[in-house]
Amino acid sequence: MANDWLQQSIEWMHQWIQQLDLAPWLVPLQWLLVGYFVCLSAGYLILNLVALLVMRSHIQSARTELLPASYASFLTPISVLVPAYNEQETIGSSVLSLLQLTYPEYEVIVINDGSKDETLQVLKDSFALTLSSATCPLRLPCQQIRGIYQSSRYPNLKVIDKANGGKADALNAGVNLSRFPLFCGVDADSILQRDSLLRIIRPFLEDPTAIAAGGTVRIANGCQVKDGLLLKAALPNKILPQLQIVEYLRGFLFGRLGWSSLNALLIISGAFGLFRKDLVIEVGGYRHKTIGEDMELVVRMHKHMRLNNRKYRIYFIPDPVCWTEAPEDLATLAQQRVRWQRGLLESLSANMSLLFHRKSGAVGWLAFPFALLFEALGPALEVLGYLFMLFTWLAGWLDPAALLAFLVVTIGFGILISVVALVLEEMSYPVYPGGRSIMRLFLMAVLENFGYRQLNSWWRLKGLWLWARNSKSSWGTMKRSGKWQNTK
Amino acid sequence: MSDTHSDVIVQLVWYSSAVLLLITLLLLVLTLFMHYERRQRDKSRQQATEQWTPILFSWIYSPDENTGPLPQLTAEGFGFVVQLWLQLEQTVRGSASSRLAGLAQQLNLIPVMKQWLHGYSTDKKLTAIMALGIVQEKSAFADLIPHVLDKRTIFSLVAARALLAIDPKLGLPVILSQIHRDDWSVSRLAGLLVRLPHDLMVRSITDCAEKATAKELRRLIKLMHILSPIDSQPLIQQALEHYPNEMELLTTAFASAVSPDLLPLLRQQVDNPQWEVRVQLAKALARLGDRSDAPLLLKMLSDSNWWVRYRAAQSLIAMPGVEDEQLQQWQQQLTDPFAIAILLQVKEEQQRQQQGRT
Repeated sequence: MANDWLQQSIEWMHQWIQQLDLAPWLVPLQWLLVGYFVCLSAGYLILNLVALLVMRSHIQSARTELLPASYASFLTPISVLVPAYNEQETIGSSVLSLLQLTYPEYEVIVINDGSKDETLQVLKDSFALTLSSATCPLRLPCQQIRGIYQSSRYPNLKVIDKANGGKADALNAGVNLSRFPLFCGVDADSILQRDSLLRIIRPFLEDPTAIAAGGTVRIANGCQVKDGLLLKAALPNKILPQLQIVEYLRGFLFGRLGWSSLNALLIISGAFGLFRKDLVIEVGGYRHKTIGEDMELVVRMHKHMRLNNRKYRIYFIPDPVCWTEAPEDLATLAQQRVRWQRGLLESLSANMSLLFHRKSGAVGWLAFPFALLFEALGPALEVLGYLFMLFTWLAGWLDPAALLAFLVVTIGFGILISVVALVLEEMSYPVYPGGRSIMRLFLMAVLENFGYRQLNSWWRLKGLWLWARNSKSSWGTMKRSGKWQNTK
Repeated sequence: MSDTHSDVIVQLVWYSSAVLLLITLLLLVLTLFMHYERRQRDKSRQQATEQWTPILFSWIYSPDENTGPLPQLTAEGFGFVVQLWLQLEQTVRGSASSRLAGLAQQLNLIPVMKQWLHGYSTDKKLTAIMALGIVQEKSAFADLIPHVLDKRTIFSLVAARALLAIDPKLGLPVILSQIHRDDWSVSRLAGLLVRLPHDLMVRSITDCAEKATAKELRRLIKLMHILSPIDSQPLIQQALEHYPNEMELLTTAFASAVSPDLLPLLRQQVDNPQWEVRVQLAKALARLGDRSDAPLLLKMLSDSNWWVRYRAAQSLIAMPGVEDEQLQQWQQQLTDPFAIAILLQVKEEQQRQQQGRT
């Protein structure tokens, strides 16, 4: 019965499509989609090759991996800024992990951005905070600061309690209070590998023109963590976080590494990035009322430096690692991806003057158009492609053999770039033990093409739509279990 | 598109898929192979640590027992042992350090370090600079000088330390020639110079100050003030005489002044057009001045800048031997309402502080 109904519907659709005189549109549309796929693939392929080359030289130059402790007294001190909003579940262990970093001189500044839960109380109880009489200059605009607290147990821990103003506002407040010339933004629900600061400082030691550096963010689901310290890295059991691991590897290892080598890296993750404070103040700090404040700042720094003819470099370093929790359910993941897409579009649209500007170099002529065409507007074209295939199939214009061949090549290419990410991970800083983990990740690289990838495109399209409608943005709160913060 | 064309395109797409599949599988095998190789490397590193840590310690504690040949080392193992050696060197002093330097000779470290010094690897270069400094290799002195001039802070500072370890007399002028560098914090520089012979340090800094620009002189005054405050006074005198209009230099000079001999020169700045200088002058007078400076400070109570008035009031109250009676007297002499207000404010603040303490 149902089968008959389906067949009748298809026939009806077929007749209806035949009546529409769409033939003149089909060929150009087909070529547009094929051209889009070819350009996208070529772009990714070039990025992959560049990333492989860069990784090789990175491994050679950093073979001994860690700077000997003997240079410690010459390393630039760092202020670690931790914006927190309703983080009572995880803030204690996150701050504890930050206080155990291996770095000679650093301070941790937690910024409680008007949390409605017990975040401040947890901090007061866990770290013996006392109200301090310290003041800070308002070099960057931020909401009213209600109090500055100093830990009596950890001399390098300070907490700012301020009125709610969003993540960007919280980071600006942290920059105002920070004492050191470099600051590192870290998400309150993330933990850093103990030697992460020692690794991320490298570009600032090697290159006086370095103004910012980003590290890799890895997924912590499935890992063993105790008191803010990562005991053992392992793959999670659930499929959704495993799929995201492959996605993160791809995004960080070839995406960012490739662009970084061209000095055209457009994003440093807010979860873990090191910046030169004077430069951030010079460009006006984090912009309020944006979702993607991390990307927006980096794009603005590029714009400021390029348009003023100043020599600079923004780096991505693959081995300093920050661990964060990935969503384990579809609703939270959807919410996260919609937010990311809006952040991307906001960052690009706010700095549109960089696009094809005569002084903008690889940023304005390569990275910006790539991000705009394939990442910002890409979901629309991808969904259009799926609809086009469905439409032509229903109309009977599509040869099933051709459809299958194109599907295989598309999926094959997707798997290939994921496997390159696995190679890059193995070359740089492999964290998952055993060959079995590699095989499981490979399986995920295959599986993600059947449903997950399409879902992602849909969520991103939704982000594009919300951005176009100019919906209100807010703190990116995400449902988190926080279980991984204290597994045994 | 004709059918033949379509067929060709579809064929091509199938071939591409096959190539993609093949490359993917090859990369997967490569990943697994690299994983295996890394595990082997980690194992050998672990073995090297276990083998060499006792050797390094025995060189510190009982060098006479180490007469036999050292174990063979691979290129990678060598780098790792050098790191171990360096880290241990940083934790020991005196004869233990000399004994570890002896091990460096036996490892034939110096020629390799000289090679590393001219290589491209950051880690190897830094390791070489440090190692050559630790073994005080005189022949490497000239090769290390360009590294002090390196724009990268860590290279320049590590090389500076090595130069001072090899030959402080020759090294110090090279280091002081870089005093203009903003990326060298004065306190870190002082940390490098603190163990040098006092005379050498004072003479070199004073010589350097003779040709210094205002910015350099300011940093030299700060440096000398940390290392030997009394020896910074001639530099302050030089600053006041040669650069009377350099605000930043004058504020540093006033903040570093510890000798009453400078008072005549300081007092001349009471009408300096820059308020920052007058603020520091008020503070310096509180520290060094005597009762004869009271009229000067009373005059500063009527300054156009609030900070100058505030500091002058604090200085007046902090003057040795000034009692309430004397303050009352001064207050009665004042006619400017701003001067009276600031004096009352500071008096009130002081009383509250005293009440808070009790």
